[in-house]
Amino acid sequence: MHDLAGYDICIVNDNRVKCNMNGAKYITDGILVLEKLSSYNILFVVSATDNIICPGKNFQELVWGKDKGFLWSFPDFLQGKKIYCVHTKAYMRKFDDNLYILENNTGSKEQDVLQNISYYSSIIKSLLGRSACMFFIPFLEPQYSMLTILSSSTGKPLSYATQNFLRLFISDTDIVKKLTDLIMSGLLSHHIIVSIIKGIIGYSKINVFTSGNELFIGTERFDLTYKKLGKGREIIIHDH
Amino acid sequence: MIIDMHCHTHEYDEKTIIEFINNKIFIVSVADDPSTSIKNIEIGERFKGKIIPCVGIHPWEITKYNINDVYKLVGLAIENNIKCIGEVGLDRLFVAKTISKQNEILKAFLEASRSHDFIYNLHTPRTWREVFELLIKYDVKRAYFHWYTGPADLLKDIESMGYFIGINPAALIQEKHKRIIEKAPLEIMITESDGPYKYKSLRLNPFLIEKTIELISSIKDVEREYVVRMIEFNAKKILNI
Ligand SMILES: [Zn+2]
Repeated sequence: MHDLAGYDICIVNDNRVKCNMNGAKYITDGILVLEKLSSYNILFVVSATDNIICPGKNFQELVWGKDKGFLWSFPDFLQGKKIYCVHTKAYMRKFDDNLYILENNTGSKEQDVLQNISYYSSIIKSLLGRSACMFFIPFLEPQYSMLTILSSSTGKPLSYATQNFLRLFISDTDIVKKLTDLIMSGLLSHHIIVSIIKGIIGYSKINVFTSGNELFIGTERFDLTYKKLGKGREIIIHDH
Repeated sequence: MIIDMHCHTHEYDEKTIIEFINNKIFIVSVADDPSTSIKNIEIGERFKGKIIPCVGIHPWEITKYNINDVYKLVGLAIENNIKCIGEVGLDRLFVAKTISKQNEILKAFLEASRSHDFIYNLHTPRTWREVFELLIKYDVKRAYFHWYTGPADLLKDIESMGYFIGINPAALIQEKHKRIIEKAPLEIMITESDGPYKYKSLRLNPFLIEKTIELISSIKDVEREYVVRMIEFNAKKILNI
């Protein structure tokens, strides 16, 4: 399994950065310097109207409430080096109540995005009824999407044609059942589901961490209790 | 903000300079000789906070001048609170014949400016390491290797000294320079135009920097905005602003 001590999380607000590892510094003009990373992956939590740009790959952005998460993964050659990231204002546009479009870096055509959002937003709203939800827009190259669901029985992808896993840690079995049903029925793609999880559970933070080709999405609570997994539930989504 | 770390602004008319500034291009203006140095100081006054003037004698121009001229220029720089010396350096590619006089002049600059913490805006064709070693010898803290096409193994030393290299729009057509973008870390790069110099089909000018940024962005596989901000960051570091 995975050593979750291996992922890094940084919270960036105003002119400060606070990380779970040492050596992160916020310097003038919105430049962040990261040293002593413990993994190739880092999750930045910033205000929903901000952006973090690093060298490397940005797998996904997620927005919830007033916060936004950026998952960056760094190439090998940056290991052991100082990594500079840039903190900027985002290109996020409000689409509908509680729904945002992330305009930057999406591989999707604007029209497709709008259509999908309209389609999903009604489902999401009927499902949630109340909560704020966040919205992912998948990035250009599906092989870089870490949020693909892979069938645990056949080894074939359920959604995108990639070789990655999605594992969700969710406390409420009801929710898990609903989500699983939705996935199975093909109505929702994975990135919408993450939105819903957040919307339903209503936590203030979602942590996303990866190890190898697997991605974990968890709420703060699971993050904290991960090492005592017996107390939480690990749900692997099966395709039947 | 777009950075032009090496531009012969004194060769442009005022209208054109204003156009650069209106397009958010921040310029470091290098000189060729004493008279363009003086012109640069005036430009720096006129466009305070937008253009940083340098004084210097280009290696191609040194035959007409002597060490006294160098000392006068450095004196003038100190008097006028000028922070930058350039374009100075050594050139074994285009003007190898005058190399001993070039050395005399460059060393005079280094000697005269000692302990004044000037930024050195350098011309170094085929003298990259030679100049690098002089900088160390004279304890130069801030140096910029304009249009760097030198050896890749020197890049590490340049980085470790906190010096920078110039990435010129020439990279759009000059393979040698493009390979430097591949090999050098973004943390030591600053963009420049060397305008209004003509390189093959390119009439170099500050507006071409935008294309250079796109090129860096695609070679380094990072977003355009990341390149812009990092280069701005690097420039502010060397310029101490
Ligand atoms: Zn020049």
